[in-house]
Amino acid sequence: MLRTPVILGASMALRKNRRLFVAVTYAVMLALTVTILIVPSWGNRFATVWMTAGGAFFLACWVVFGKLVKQTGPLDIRGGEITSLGLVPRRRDKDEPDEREAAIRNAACFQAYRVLALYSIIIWLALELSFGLSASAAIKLLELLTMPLLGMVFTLPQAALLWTEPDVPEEARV
Amino acid sequence: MFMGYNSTSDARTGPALCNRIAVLRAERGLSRSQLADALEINYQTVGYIERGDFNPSLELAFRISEYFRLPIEAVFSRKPFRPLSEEVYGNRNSPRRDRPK
Repeated sequence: MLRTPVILGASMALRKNRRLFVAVTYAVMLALTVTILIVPSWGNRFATVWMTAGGAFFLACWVVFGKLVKQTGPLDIRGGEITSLGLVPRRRDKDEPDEREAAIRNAACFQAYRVLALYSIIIWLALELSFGLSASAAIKLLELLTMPLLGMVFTLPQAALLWTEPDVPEEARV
Repeated sequence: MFMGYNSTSDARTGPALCNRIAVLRAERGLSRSQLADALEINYQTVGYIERGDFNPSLELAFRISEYFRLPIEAVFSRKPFRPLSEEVYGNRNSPRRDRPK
């Protein structure tokens, strides 16, 4: 399921390294989200730069997480079909998940979906409660809540797998 | 665990199936990698199946037994297998009390 490259000297075969990688990425996402509070109103040049940088970071996260977990990234479109939608795909090459890997990926996507569903309820509740706020404060609140949603939508299933999968055993090759 | 989620146990589709893949592999001098390549699956998946951490689909179970040229019931079972030596030699190694006096 996992690809195990070495990132900055840390092997992704080891779970502790993967957990550290996920924790650092999510910490950056959180920091980006919190900076919303200090970004001035829309139309400002700083806000535009911030939005572009934030969007680029989330896209990069999606690509990198998708590279670490088979068939979960934006570049996994092969032969004109989105193969990641297949429940038990027939393996066409070694890089594609087999039935166990597909089952694990689907379980991770299901769990992530439940978290996101719960989170979207929180956003809705916050919007309901924001009517008393000024327009700019309501927009800030909306941004503050939707930013983590954007990050999680693209990376949560992969993060769950990177977090939970055990160390990749080298002795299994024997 | 991730929100009550454990990837390995969630991938299992029911009670663990018993299998003889490790024995058959050792008998034929095959590594997990070699078997995995022949079956077009990940070498880790072979380990998961051997340990009973993942139940293969019916199609993969048939492919495995066809690879070993054995009937599927000789490779997979819902109950623990008896040792091969016992199955092959029956009571030959049984305690003396079983023999006629």
